[in-house]
Amino acid sequence: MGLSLSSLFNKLFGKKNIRILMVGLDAAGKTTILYKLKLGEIVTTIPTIGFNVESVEYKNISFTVWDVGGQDKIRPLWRHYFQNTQGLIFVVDSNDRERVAEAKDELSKMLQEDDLREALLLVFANKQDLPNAMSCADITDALGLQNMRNKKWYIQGATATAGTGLYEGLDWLSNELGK
Amino acid sequence: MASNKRKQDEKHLKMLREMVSLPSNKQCFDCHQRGPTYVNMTIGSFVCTSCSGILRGLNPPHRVKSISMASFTPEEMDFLKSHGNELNRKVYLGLYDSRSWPEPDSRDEQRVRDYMVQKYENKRYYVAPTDAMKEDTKRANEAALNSKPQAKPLRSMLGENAPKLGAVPAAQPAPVTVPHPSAFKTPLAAPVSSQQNNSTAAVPAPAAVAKPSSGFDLLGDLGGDPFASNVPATSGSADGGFADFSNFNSFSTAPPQPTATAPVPQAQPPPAAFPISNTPLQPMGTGLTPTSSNTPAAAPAPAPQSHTAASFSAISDKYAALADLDSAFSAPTTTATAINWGGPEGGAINWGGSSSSSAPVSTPSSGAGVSWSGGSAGAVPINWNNAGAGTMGSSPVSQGFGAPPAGKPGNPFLKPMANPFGGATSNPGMPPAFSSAAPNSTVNPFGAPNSMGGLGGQFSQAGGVGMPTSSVAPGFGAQFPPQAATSGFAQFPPMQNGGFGMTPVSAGGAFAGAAPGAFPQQQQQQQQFMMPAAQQQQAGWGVPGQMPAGGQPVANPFMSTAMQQQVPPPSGSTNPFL
Repeated sequence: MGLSLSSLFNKLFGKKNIRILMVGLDAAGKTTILYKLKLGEIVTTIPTIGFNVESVEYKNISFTVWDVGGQDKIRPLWRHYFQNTQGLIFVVDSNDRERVAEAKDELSKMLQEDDLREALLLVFANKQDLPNAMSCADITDALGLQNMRNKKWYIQGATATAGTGLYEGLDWLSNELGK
Repeated sequence: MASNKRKQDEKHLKMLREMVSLPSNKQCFDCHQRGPTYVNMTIGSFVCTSCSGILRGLNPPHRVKSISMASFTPEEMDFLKSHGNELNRKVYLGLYDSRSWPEPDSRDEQRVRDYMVQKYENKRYYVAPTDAMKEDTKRANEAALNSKPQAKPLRSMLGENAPKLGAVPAAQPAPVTVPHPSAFKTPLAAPVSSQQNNSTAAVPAPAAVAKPSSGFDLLGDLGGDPFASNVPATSGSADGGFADFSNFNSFSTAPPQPTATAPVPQAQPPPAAFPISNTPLQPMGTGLTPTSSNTPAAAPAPAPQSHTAASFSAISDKYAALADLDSAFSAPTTTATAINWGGPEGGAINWGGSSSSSAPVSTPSSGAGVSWSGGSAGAVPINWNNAGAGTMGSSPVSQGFGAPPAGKPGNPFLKPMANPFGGATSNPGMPPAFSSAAPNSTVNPFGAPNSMGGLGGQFSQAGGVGMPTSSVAPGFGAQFPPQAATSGFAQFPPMQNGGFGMTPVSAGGAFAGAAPGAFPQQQQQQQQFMMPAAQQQQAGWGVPGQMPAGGQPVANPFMSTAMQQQVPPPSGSTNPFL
């Protein structure tokens, strides 16, 4: 009885913590997204060596977002962040058609990991503002998202520099995790 | 397949580093900051980190890749070769007039960004490149790259002298003419098999050490070649010591050269020698780096007492052990033995003791500088600077050594060693290490009578260059009596081994058993080994050298307490030294 009361209380007033891992190829816009969410402004980023982590409050949920550098030699380090990750944000540069296949490889490699079995997958199709950007449908195909069984995924077009699409993605995450 | 890719990556990385060291690429193409760390793959220029960030944000964005954190395809390498900052200057700044629009200060990010927008988005100064320009650039770049001494520090440093150096040892069967690091590898393998076979050439590294003086530019700068001067001074003993060193491998079986020195009395049959080495060695098997170090540790102790011959045998064994380690572990581990004499500019010269693997070579080379401080004192002043971690390790070591020679019979190794290391690890800075060391050892190594006044000064200077070195130096001074300075060198080779062993052991805190634990830190340890080893060598050497020369047989500071106590396996009954 007491237990259920407290859980009810938490549900109503408590703050939920969600651990998010944000990865993607280099220059996809991960760090820009992170700081757009955190600060609401565009910062000039430099290529991330290592990671950035920020907690973002949204809808009474505290998202702890880990943004890990995406240059190819440090991608093997991603897996060290997998544990206890509830949401995986995979950022794709929609304008980078040449490397979308590389992105697919990285994504499918990651999703084979046990630690991410339970994690939700949110794909940000970033840089939608650029004229030559692939649409979300294109990217869904290119990443082979439809073929992913047993995986909850969602793709959201986004423009980090304008902030469009970012909170929609977080909405999906919070809805799914609130279920 | 994977290994192929890795090889290619390494090759490309090396090429990139060479390209980035070409005069035109030494500065960021956009802000002129020195030392570009990124390449702009869109136009093929070399840029700094902050400009790479700005480039990513241009419209359209430029693609940048980190030199060290990205891998490159051969096509990309070609592209870079045919571009580079020089060509891009002609293209993107073809119409640029610095008087009308001065290039912004690299610290003013907004202005740099505006300037880059003008440069790339508006193409305000753009001149379309012609194919001929690209061809020319590529040719020029390739020529420049080829003309550059590529990882041939040894050769360049040694020059013609190298062979001669090898010869010095006199009868040495294997004149070490190993000019190139790559050559080392062979020697490495050799030592293993050579344990019992004298035939193999001397370990290149040691030989190099002995002789390098003549060849080294650095030395030249100093004016005096510490080594050279020393050798003659020590005369017979010195030579013998030297020769021995080079002979290294062969030693176990035959103590040929060392004979010159009095101590070498017995040509111990290889087998006899082995037992000694064996005990220490075995631990090594378990722990890679640490182990290797351990072995050496054993070696030093014997060296003083038994003199050169004994030490030699130990050495040979040790090398064998290293070789084993090598095989067992991939490149990095092996490094422990290798001594790096990194010339700051020339790149590093690796005098891989035996096993030096390729990996170590590269690392030390960049960071490590050998500073030969004023030659006045003679050999003593030689500083082996190790960059970064390496230094730390070295400094403590030296201290430890210094204490023992001071005549502190008690437990030179335990006390000083422990403290210095602890301090060292936490505290890379040398000066602190010094102070700490002094208290520990009742005898102040620095203050030691020997301490050459000159040395102190020299050391401090060295400190400026490579901090760790400085600490090392003091140790030396203390240890080496004046004579030591001269004679010390000759004897160095044997000591080196011994020195090595000690360092790692103490540093790791892991003797045979502990070795595995030490493992994770291979890198650091390796570095430590390399440089410190050299330093220790010196220290150690000085002592041993004196011993024979002075005719003081017994007084081996190392031997008495440290060695015996430290070497856990008493089992080596066969080993006279133990």
